[in-house]
Amino acid sequence: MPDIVRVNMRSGEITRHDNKGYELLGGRALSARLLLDEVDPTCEPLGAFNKLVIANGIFAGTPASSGSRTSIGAKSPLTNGIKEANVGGNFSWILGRLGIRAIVVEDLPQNDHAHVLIVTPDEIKLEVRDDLKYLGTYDTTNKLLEQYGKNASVLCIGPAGERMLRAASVAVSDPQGELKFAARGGLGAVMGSKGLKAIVAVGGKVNKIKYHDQEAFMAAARKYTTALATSDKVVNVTQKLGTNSIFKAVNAMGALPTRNFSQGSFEYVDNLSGETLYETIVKRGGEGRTGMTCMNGCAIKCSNIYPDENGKKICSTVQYENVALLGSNCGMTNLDDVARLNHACNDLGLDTIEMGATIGVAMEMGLAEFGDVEGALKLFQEIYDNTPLGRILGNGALVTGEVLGCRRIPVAKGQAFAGYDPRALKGNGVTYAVSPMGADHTAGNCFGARNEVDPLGTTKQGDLSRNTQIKITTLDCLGICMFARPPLFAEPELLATMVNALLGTELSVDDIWQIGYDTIKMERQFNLAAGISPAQDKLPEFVYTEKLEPTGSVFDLSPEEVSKGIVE
Amino acid sequence: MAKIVFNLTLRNYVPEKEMEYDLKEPIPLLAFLESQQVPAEEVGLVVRNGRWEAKSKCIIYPDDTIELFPYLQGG
Repeated sequence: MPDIVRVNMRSGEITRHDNKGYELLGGRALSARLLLDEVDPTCEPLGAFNKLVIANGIFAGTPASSGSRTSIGAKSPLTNGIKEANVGGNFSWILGRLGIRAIVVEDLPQNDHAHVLIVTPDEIKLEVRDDLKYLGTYDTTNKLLEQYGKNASVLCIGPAGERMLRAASVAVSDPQGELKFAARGGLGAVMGSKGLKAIVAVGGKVNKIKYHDQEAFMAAARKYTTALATSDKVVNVTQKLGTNSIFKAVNAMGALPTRNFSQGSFEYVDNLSGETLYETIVKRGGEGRTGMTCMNGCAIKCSNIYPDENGKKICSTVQYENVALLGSNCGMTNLDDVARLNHACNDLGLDTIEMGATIGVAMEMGLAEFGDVEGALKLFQEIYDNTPLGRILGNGALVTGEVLGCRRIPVAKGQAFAGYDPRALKGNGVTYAVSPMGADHTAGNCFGARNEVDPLGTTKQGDLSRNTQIKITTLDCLGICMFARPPLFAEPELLATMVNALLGTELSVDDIWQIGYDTIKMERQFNLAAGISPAQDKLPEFVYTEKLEPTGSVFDLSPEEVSKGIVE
Repeated sequence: MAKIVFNLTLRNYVPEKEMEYDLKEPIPLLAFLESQQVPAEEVGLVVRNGRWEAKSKCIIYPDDTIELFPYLQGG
């Protein structure tokens, strides 16, 4: 029975107890349950009564491919509602094998020190590490990995989180020491409010995972992992082009965020495409790589290192959302510029989606020209320097747009749209509007259902969004990457078999999907108690009135159609 | 001439990524794919002249530009 670790930042007390009562809950489900049980939904997100939950999925540390993602949850300073963002990396793989299901960070410290929580097989302790204060995520991670060894994993925040900026992310190191991000919702600011700069998970040979039926689990895990590893799409598309393989497809549909969501396609699409990304990395060589894993045993391998002309790393990983928001949405015409902006976001510990939308808004209001990478980097320097303008920008697209007087602010529930314009992919518009997560494509991305529902149509969008939300949330609860969904959605019995063989339960496939359904219901319950009413299940007015070229589409779903996407 | 763009793994079934076809008359996409020995089940997204089309209902006209993509996932 894995444990829950509690860290009180005021007293410094660390306690560890079993997960009795929460045995079947992992990842996003555990986070939602703990927050609903223990946090006043009306609390201040950066105050003493909010809690930061870092939770493994149920499969963490097992050989199930792509099954050790880390869920981070809290009341969000960006949406003022419940928030979960999950991330790859090796942190939960190690934590799972140490017999820990979750770490709950509580209260506020009584000092201004930077703290690091060290989790090893032998002890859990809190240290003051002021030498790390305001260091970027890369330097922070490198210092800690140097100290604790490359088999450790670091979960940390950058200066943006320490300064409690609402676009702040949480970084997690992967097996190569590269960083992945639980980016959305400003959860890095919550971690910063608690004076917690980093957590280091140190593994080793310890493996406390207990299987009810190890043979059955391994057989199902092997079948699922083999299906991924031998998939033509995985081997020839995802491992080469990464998640940016969809860039041209989204552009062709007219749903690509372009120049602050004023257009749905970009004339420089070929410069930013997944094909160009792959060809550039291969041609430049040096430190450039594709097909990298972000956690032990992952068969998908969608990560990359994007190098400059001399083969020196600019950024890892350049992926679709970053290219869409920091690229076309900011008018950038080449991947080198995108990679430089991506690196700045990563180092500061900022959400690339929120910041791509923010810089797009700032560009529309004249703080830089679209396509001006040096101008955009100067804006990031303002955040590094903690100037008033930097603090405005670091608080995201809504704050920036309101301060600058922008009419086109691409947000829902305070959070920036992801890389799909809701006017040309209306199922995602429903998800943005009704999900308890705010405008978050990972809450229910309808991009993968193009042969079933016309993305420009006005029917079937609500049901599509709802079904997708439930299934993706289920994966979030199990700790599985959403890119693993083809074999699991095609044969969901594999999920049930793995859960039952691990936990000794007798869940059916319907019971498995019920996990996602119940989780969203808990999240919506939290939000209602936080004062986020159904009246806020909508999008900003410009998407209802401004035609998006080249399709000429607006978000014209009826309220009844949108409400079909609500999970309650 | 109808221009057909075979993106990503669909490129493996045809000599060039972008092919032009001199169509004498409109032809259903599914029939066209069969004639080119491109497995229809591999096609996940059809964009005809800049707009999404249902694969099963798409008709190719002689001056069309059709972009074909395999099944892809957003994440």
